[in-house]
Amino acid sequence: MNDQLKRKTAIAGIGTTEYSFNSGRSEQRLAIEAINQALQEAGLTPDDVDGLVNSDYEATNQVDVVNAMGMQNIASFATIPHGGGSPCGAIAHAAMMVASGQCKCVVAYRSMNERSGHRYGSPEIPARYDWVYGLHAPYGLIVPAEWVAMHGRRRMIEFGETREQWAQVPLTCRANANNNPAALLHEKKLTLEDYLNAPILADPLCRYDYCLETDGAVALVITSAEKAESLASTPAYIHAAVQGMGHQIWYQSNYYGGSLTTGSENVAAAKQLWAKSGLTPRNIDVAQIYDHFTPAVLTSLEDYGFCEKGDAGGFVSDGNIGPDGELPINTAGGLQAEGYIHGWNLILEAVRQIRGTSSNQVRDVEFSLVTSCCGAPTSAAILSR
Amino acid sequence: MSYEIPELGRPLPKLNADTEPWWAALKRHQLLVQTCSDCEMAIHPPRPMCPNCRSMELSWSPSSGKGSVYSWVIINRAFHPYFMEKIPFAVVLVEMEDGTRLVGSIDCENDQLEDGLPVEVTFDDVDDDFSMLLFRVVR
Ligand SMILES: [Zn+2]
Repeated sequence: MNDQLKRKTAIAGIGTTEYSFNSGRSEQRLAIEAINQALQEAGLTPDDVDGLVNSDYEATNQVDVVNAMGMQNIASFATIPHGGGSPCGAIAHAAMMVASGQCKCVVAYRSMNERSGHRYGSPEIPARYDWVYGLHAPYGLIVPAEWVAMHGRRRMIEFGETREQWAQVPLTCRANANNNPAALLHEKKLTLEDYLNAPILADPLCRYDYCLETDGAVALVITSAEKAESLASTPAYIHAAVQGMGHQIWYQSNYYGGSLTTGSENVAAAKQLWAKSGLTPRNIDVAQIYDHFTPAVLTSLEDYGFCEKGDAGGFVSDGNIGPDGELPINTAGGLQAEGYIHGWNLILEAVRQIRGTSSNQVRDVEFSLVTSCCGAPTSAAILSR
Repeated sequence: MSYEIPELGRPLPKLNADTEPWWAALKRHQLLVQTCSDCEMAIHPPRPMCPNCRSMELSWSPSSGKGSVYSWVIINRAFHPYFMEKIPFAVVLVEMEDGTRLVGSIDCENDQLEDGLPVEVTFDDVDDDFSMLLFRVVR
């Protein structure tokens, strides 16, 4: 497939606040701090920015960014839907804005006081539950972990997966975070015994199968490949960036059509990703796999083709996902141990792996994969050096 | 530390014109399934068009009410006040004979749950407007 985006653009700057349980600052301020840092490391200013992209769940309005930073040259802006499915979609849209000539320098950002402010894992308690939520809430399936647990159970039924196998995902994330001083759980060790003895909250999921709740913000600067080469930072070329919807699809509760152990949205994104990149899973040196809940990581590893359907339990427990494994994943600690900026912080780590600046640096990285949320319309990207 | 749990009833759905007939039937203790008049596909959740043949000629058929347990979750920590006194409780996903799947409660011990467990639907009256799905094991 002739892909008009391949290597035409690059992530030229990344910025992040600290990850914390209580930032003590507004989400607007966090966003501005992250954007400012991303621009500064590229040697750019708000005057250079002519495009903005954010997520539909974003608390900081684009006009608040423009008003605070005195941006006067904005020519195009977009908001990418579907929450945790949006991060790599933001890269894809920013790349399209630049490669089409509409923009020269696009900022994408995500800010959240998700721990100290509104917590996604806690129920809104609305008067009535609309959409597909109304089919689940009356029975007590109210928050994402409870919806995803239904998928996790089905993995155990179909593939005979065990909690010992599942444990390898949070244990890998945590060990990586223990090497990453910026990770929220940098100083907290996790053992297999801790995992196996943890209370099962939404059976079969225990607390260590859940992502964190985090305050913080991240930002990216996307420019043309040519421009990125003239800037202060090391470019991470956008080799491919795609979205995928799948059929049938709801949010974290894809109960009503097809398999509970395959993400139709993952399959749709993966198909495009490999076609447009001209690569195969064997080309990928390191991957950041969206880890909101453990079983979703296993399903994603299969759907993107790193192992056969049903083999992910064995794949993760055979040492393949550790720093020295076949496919090191979530090398900053992932959403389970670095922080949960709704999947956007995974992109920063994918960039660091290209730059050679990860705290769990994989040697000689040529292609760095990042995926967005399994269980919603999603997206994925491959960055290259 | 003590805190008051607000008085909140069972969570209820918000309906629209596509879903109202299905819920109204539950209140009459009748399980309907949206059915395509052209290709006869059974469709759930209800929607404006048949995703199989793209027909908009959709009608409501009575369901056999029979199916088998496809997956389940046991909630040990509840967030919503209504469910806090009910833990641990199970929520099941049932594959019906017509191929659709339904989320509901189940009237059995949690350790009785297994893949393929045969069940049939009964109805749990909530208030004047709503009844919910309560499956029972078929012996
Ligand atoms: Zn039809």
